[in-house]
Amino acid sequence: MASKEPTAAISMRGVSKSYDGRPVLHELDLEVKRGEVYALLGPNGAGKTTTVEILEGLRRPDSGQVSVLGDIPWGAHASWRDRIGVVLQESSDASDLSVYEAVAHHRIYYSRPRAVDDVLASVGLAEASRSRVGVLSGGQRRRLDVALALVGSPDLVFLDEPTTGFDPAARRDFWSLVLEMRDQGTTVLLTTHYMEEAERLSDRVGVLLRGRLIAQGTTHELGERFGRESAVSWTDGDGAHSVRTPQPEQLVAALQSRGRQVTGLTITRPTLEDVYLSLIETKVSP
Amino acid sequence: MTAAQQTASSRLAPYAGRARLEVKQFFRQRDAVIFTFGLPILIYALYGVTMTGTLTLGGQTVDHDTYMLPGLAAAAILLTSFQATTLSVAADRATGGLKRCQTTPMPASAFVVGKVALVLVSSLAQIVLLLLTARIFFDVAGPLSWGRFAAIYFLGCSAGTTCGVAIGWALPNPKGATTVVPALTLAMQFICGVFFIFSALPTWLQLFAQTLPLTWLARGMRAAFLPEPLAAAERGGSWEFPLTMLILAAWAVAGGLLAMRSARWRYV
Repeated sequence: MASKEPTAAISMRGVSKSYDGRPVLHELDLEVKRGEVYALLGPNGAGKTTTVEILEGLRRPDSGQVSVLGDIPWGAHASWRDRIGVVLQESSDASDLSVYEAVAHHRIYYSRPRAVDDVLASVGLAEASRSRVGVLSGGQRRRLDVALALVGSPDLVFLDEPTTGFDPAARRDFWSLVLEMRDQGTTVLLTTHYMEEAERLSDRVGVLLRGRLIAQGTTHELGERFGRESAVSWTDGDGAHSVRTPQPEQLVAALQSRGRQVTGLTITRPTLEDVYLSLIETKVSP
Repeated sequence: MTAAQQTASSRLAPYAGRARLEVKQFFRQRDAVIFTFGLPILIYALYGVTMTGTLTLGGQTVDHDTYMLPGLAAAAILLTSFQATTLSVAADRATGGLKRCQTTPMPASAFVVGKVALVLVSSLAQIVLLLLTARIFFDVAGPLSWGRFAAIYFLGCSAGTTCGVAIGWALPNPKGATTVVPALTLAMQFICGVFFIFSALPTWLQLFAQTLPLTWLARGMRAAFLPEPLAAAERGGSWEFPLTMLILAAWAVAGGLLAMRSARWRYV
């Protein structure tokens, strides 16, 4: 079994897909290594969910090659789905069951099921295990979706915008959950609109725009390649200043050599959000 | 673990689990229990209380509540098979429950088994309650021919389930199903001989209603419940029972074919 499987958990080559003649993905190439947390970023309509649904086996591309855990996802055998866990972008099913019942039901489909109480504890829903799913808050509902994705001890987990609607504390809890998954060797493909989330969680980031992968790499690599300008801010006799420059060190040296009183000096390296926005803007404006 | 090593019980677990889940979810929904499960029984009870007189049909005299029972048995089957299945499939699509099933190792056939179990359990419980209500409170006996009753019950449930899956899967806006589908089934009950005596409807409406399976379901139920002389009031002066069975069977098959066409387990 192991010999048959490549080192990449996910591999897409030249994948295209259109809906009713409207192209969504163009010759997309994407590779996610085993044990990696990969964040797929991009504006609404860039093709993130279509990409994820192709990888989950819910959609079939028009052309191109796809391999997920060594198999073609659409039409893969049940033993393949036994190894993946999926958090869809939106779910409101099972609202008449209790949290415990929903997880206990999904457990029966898998060959390596985890104990219901363990899964609920790991997503922070132990206290809510007897609540009706329909009365959960948005954040609790999302954590249940994660519990349902994890109950089969998956090797690969898809998280499509998992923290939409979370309060900051719930988001932090969720991040530690994803980092725990990674520590256990689980491969994670994540889509998100929160750049801080992608920065904290992912080993590598890919930026999807109009169905094409326009940039890919670690957050650091993307910063080096696409986000050359740092922001330098300070206050002097003329007031507050903020300047963007590719050479912050030179600017700071120049400030000091002028011999004026400078307070509140900060140099901010470009965040993933800066890099992302500049990437999207360059590609959108002609 | 290979398939050969799996025990029979673990292979059956998804089917049994799915069946339990569907039944549990149905009976926990207050609107489903009232408007799908309880409505025919409630309406029959209202008939029984308000319409105490007799009818004269084809030269025969019959108690009003005796005559209405087969129609409401047909309505009961319509609701727990067709309406329940349509709403359930539409809800699975609207809530993401269907996609979730598709991403688990659950076999597609377990999904179908779950829907069939839902229909079997809820329609059997409902028809028993309806017949008991008629017997205990209004002294109206059950079917005169249990054989006919069983045949029509089986064919009606089959047609309702297959058509329900086909329509629930094809509805362009599954979120709107809870308002559209009950309105449609209610309208059908008015024109197919459930609430009113079919032979008393205008001829053009009767002709139209014969294109709907509920008309045949109600007629088949009358053939099962009512004494033979009342057939004189039917179209052609007879129950046309074989034709009724044939038409219901055709609907069941047509619904099944449509369901297989529309109900793609995976998107393409």
